[in-house]
Amino acid sequence: MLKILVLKEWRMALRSQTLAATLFPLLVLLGIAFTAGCIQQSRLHLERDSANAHFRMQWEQLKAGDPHSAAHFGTYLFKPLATLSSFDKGVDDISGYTMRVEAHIQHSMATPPLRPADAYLRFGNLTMASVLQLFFPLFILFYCYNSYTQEQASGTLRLLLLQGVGKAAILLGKAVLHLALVNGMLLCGLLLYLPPLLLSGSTPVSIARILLLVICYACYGSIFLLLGMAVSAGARNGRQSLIILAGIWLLWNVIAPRLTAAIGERLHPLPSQHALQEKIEKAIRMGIHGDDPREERMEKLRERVLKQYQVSDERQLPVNFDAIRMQANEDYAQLVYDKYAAATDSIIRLQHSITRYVALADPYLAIRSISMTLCGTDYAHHWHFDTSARRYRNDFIRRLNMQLASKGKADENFYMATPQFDYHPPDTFTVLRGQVWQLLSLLLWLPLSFLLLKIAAGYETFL
Amino acid sequence: MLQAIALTRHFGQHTALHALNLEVGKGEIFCLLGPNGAGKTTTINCFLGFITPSSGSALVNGIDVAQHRQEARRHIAYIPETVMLYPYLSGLENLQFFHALGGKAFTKDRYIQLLLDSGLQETAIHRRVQTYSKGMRQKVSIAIAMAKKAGALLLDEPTSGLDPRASYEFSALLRRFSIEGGAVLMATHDLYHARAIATRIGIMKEGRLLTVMEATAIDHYSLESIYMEHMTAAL
Repeated sequence: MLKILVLKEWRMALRSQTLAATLFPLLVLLGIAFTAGCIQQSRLHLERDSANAHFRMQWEQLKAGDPHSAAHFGTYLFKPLATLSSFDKGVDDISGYTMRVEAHIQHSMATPPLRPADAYLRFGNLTMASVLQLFFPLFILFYCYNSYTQEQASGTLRLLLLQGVGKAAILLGKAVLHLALVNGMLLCGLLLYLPPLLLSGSTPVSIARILLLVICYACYGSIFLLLGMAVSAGARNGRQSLIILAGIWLLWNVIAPRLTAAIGERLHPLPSQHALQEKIEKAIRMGIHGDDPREERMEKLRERVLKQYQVSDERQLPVNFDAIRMQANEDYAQLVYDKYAAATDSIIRLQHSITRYVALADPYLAIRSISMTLCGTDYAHHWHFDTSARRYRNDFIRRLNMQLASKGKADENFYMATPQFDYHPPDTFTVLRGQVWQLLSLLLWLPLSFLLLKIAAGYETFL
Repeated sequence: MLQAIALTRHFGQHTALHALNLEVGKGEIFCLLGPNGAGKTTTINCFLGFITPSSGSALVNGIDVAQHRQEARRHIAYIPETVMLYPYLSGLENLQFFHALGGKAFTKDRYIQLLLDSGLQETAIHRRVQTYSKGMRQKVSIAIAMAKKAGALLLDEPTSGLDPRASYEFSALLRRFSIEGGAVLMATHDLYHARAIATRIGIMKEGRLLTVMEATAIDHYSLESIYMEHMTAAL
C-alpha cells in the first residue's frame, strides 16, 4: 500500500509542478548566494593573499638595522579565508580578520573601517547557509502545509478512508515521498554548488566536514517537513495549518535567536572596548593585582640581571638591558592581556551557553551553530586563530628583542629567517566537541517531529 | 445490507437524528428525500463511519460501523455530491489508484472496460481528471465502486448539477448496480429522479424518518403532494 501511495504522491508532485515551483526558487536563491559568495571570496582571498605577500616582502626588505625599530615597524597577520566561509560566513564579518603586530601594543583583531559597497556585497548576507537555514524551511512549509488538509478539503480523503486506508498510512506515504523530495532538493542544490565552491577554495576541507554538513542540513529540512505534515494532519484546514507553521518558523528562526542573544547580553554583559583597554593598561602599570607597579618590577628585574651577570651597573652588562626590560614588559603585558582576554572569552562563552541550551528547543539555533562550526567561521575558530596569531606575535617580538639584547643587528638574513605565520585551523573532531548540544538538538527533534506526526495520525500504526 | 437501528446523533443541543430505523436490502434502491437539515447526510455519514452515532447503530452487512469501521467500509462505496478525484491523474490512474489501495489489482484492460461500462468516453480515459465534467467524474467514481465490488452504494445528492443526459446515464448505472445485487442508499432533493429509480422512498424531516413508500405504488404527483404535506405539517 505504501508503494501505491508514494507513487501517487510522486505523480501528483511532478504533474502539479509544485516540485518545480519549490525546487526552482531554491536553486535560484542558492545560485545567487553561491555567485555572490564566490565573487566575494575570490576578492577577499586575493586581497588577503596579496596583503600577506606584500607585508612579508616589506618585512624581508626592511632596511632598519635596529631590531627595535623593526619591531615598531612590525607587520600584519591575515586570517586565511576558510574555503567554506562563502557557504557560511558565521562571525567572520564581525570578528575581524587582520592583526597588527608591533612592539609594546597588543592589538585586537580588526576589520577595515570602510568596505567597498559594490553590487556583490549587497548580497553579502545572503549566503548559501542563510538560504538553507531561513528560506529552505519556508519552502518546505509552503510545500507541505496543505498536504493533508488538501485531501480533507477536496474530499479525496473520504475516498481514501473508504478504500480502507488509515490516516497514518496516508501520512506515511506523503512523508516518505516528501522526505525524499526535500532531501533530493537539498542534495541537488549542494551537488550543484558545493563542488565548484570547494575547488575554488584555497584551504583544504575534510570530507568529514562536508558529509556532516550535508547530513545536518538534511536533518534540519526533515524536521521542518515532518513538523509541517504533523500540523497539516492536525489542523482544521490549510489556513490554520499555514498560520501555525508560519508562527513556528517565526518563533524559531526570527524571535528566539534575537531573544536569546539579547538575554545572553543582558545576563553576561561584555565590558566596552574602552573600559577593557583601560583595565589592561592599569594592570600593566600597577600590576595584575594592583600591588606590583611597573617601576618596582623593573627594579627587581634590573637587580636580578645584574646579579646574574655579577656586575654592579647596567653599562657593564654584556647584553642590552633595555631589550631585556622591553621583553619583560612584553611578557607581563602578555600575561595581563591573556587574563583579560580569557575573561572576555569566558563571558562570550557564557552568552553562547544560553544559545546552546535554547538550541535544544530550536533546531534553527542548532543548525546555525553547527553550520558555522563546520565551515570554520564560528567563534571557536576565531578564538583559535586569535590565540595562534597572538602566540606568533609574541614570538615575533621576542625574537627581535632577543636580537637586540644580544646586541646583534638586524640584517637581510635576519629578516628573511623570521618564520612566517602558518595557521592551521582545528580539526573537525575538536571543533565538534563544542557542538554536542546542537547535534543533540537535531538528533532529538528528528524523532520528536516524527512522534508529533504519529500523534497527529491518532496513534494509528503507520502500516 | 444496510440497517439503521434506533440511530441517534446529537450535535450539542441539536439532535440531527431521532432513533432512525431503516433497512436497505440487496438489490434495492432506497431514496431519502427531505429538506436541508433533515438528517439525510448525517444518516449516510453514520453508515460511512465518518460520524459516530450518539446511540443506536448503523450496520453494514451485519457489521456495526461504529465498532468495526474498517471492516464495514470494505462493503461500502460512496459517491458524494461533488466527486473529487486527483486532478493531475487521469480517470484510469484514479481508478487504478483507489482500487489498488484495497489490495487488489486488475489488468489495465479490465480497468478500461470498467470505465467504459460506467459510461466514460474512450477518449477521456487517459485524460487528466482536471479536464472532466462533473458527470464524467461521477462515472469514474461509479467505476471505482464497481471495481471494489462493494455490496452497498451510498450517494449524497449525486445528480445535483448534472445535465439531463448525464443524470439519465447515471440512473442507468445505479439500476445496473442494484440489479447485480447491490444495495443503494441515496439522499436527494430530486423527487422526480427518486421516483424514477427508487424501489423505496423515505421522507425525512428534522432527523426523523416520517414515511417509507414503495416507489411503484405512487406516481410522481402523489409523491410530490405527500412530500409537501409532510413538509408543511408540524411534527
